[in-house]
Amino acid sequence: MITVTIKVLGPLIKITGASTFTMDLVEGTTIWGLLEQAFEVYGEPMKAEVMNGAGTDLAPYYIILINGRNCMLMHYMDTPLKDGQVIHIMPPAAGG
Amino acid sequence: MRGGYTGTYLDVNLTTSQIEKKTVDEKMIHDFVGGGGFSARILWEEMDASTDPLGPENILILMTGPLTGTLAPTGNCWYVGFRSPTTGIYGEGRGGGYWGPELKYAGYDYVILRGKSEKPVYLNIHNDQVTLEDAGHLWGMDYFDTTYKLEETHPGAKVLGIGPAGENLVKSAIVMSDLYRAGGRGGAGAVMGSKNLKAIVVYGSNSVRVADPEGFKTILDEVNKTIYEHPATAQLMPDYGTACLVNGMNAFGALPTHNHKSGTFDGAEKISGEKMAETILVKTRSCFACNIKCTRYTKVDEGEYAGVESEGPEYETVNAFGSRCGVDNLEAIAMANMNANRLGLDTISAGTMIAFAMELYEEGILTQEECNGLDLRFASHQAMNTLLQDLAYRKGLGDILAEGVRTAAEKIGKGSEKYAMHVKGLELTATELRSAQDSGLGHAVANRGGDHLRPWSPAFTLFGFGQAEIDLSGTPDPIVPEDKARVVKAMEKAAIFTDLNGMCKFTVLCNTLSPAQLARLYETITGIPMDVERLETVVERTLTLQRSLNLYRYGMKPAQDTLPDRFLKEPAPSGPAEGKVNELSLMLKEYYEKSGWDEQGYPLTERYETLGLEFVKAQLGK
Repeated sequence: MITVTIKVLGPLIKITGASTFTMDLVEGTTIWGLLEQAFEVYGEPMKAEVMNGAGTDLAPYYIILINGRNCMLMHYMDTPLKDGQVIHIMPPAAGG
Repeated sequence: MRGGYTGTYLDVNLTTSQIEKKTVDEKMIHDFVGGGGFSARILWEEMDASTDPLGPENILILMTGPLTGTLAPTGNCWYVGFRSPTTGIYGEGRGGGYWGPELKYAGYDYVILRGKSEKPVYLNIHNDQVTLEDAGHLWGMDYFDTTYKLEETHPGAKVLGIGPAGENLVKSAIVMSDLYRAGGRGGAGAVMGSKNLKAIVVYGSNSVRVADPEGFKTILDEVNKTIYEHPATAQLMPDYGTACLVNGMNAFGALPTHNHKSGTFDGAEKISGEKMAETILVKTRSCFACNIKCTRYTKVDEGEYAGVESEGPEYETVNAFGSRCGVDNLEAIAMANMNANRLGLDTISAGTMIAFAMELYEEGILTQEECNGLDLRFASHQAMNTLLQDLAYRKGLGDILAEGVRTAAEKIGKGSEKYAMHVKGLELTATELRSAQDSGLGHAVANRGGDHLRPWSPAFTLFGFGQAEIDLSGTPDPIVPEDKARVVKAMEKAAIFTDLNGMCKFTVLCNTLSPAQLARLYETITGIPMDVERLETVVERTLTLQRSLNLYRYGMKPAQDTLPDRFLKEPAPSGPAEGKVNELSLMLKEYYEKSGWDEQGYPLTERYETLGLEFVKAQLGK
């Protein structure tokens, strides 16, 4: 088993009830696997927020970071996770 | 018949009290659109290397854009242009609110202020009636009280003015309007104070003409739809304000912390937009004609900062008084924000300077005695708020910091220069420049010095807000320098055009509106033909003229297109960019080439011809 820390931002905090929590995963679990487990815990509202309408991809502009790096720069949703990593699930952010 | 512009400006000589109404130059309208374009053109005519920024020979120009005062989304901006006393080079800024539209309704596109009044005055613009009035009773008053007093005397009028910081010629003094709107980083407030001008009160009862109402209505529907459908302008900014960025920037390791030592802050969540929404937020507000509504109205009800009440704090302010000073107390940040507004201080520069002093204190370069007796460790929020007051009133260490961080470091010496976070003398902003390489380039080449808004490219490189029309798609890698000059050039088009046209930069910050949409808004309102190609030319013309002012009028050298050694030589200690520095030289070379400048950074002679800047070329070397 591996343990990763999940940090969620913006409207997701209301859904998960906490901005930071940990999840225990089977070794080799990918981002896809992580999200599926999270949806089991936090239900349809989280899935509706994070995924596109068809449930096939992230919602537009949603970003997932692994240790601060966009998973798009790795293997996107198929990137395998490692013990101790920090995963940010981020809605679009803006400002200045 | 043309719309957008009133065609008239005020030329006010504070030395002689002469006030003239003049006609705006037609060629300037066509070549430079408004705002920062107009100011660069006027300053080019009037400035030379000997102009003392705080002398009567400097001019302060309060401007609008052609869309200011119209129903174009966020058509509310005023701009200020001047020679900066902080940097010695081109100074400009923008503010929102309601003052800009009111100036247009009074019948003026801009106001030039020159000379110096013998005693404190304020300018009273009531449509055709324009007078200078005694401001002896207002001098020494903070900006909020000044506004309340002038609103009593002039019901319905809008007030732009300065606080004690401007009166005391503090180099980070700013111009404020509508209580909470600020503009003019680089000391516009000090320039206004040097002229003994406390405020400009405006009341107008005219309107701004739209040249093509039907065409305008069509494009207005289109751009409003775009704004309401884009997640940045439809959800994040209305829900959490600009401070929605705190957690996101921290996640990317791009939240400047402890005077830019690192880009991650353990206390980020405590000072985030999300935390603000559940604690001190009272309600949201908006400027004139704005459908984004990013403004927060906040109030602290209990604890040591109970009673604090203000608009904001914005992301930049949260970062400046928060993580950069190591402060994770949102109420303390709200206090600093409110007081900076009252005192008329630029929150970005003020926070940078306090963070600088904190690091000097921790490094043993400044003693507690030299810090006005304050225990100025990072995170000491009471000391931060005390030093902010001392800065505005030039007390002790505040007097040294009041000269700006570059000059303060020169005065303090003892190696303190390496802790001074600035570009060309203007203090840095809220992006960690090793974690967002592109923003390092943007800061290094910005014509007013350390500026994050030319453009705010992390909107694409970190947060993925691209735009097909300007060929920004995919997922760029923010910690490598490759292709970043192209990104900055692509995003400059819309970003700089909103420095001219009167709209808020938040309509384009995340690539919400496209250059084509901006061109169409301009064309339907003014009746002057505009398309993407012309828009790009206007933007390049403006940037090149501003750079020429810096190079040929103000003595700037291209070698000043650089960053503090902290970013170029000290590897990032943590976060995704750990071990990396900003690779500026690679990006600069590409940026110069794309801008039509030579390898040293001077615009090529033929560039002046293609951009219609023959008047600059004719004076080179003179």
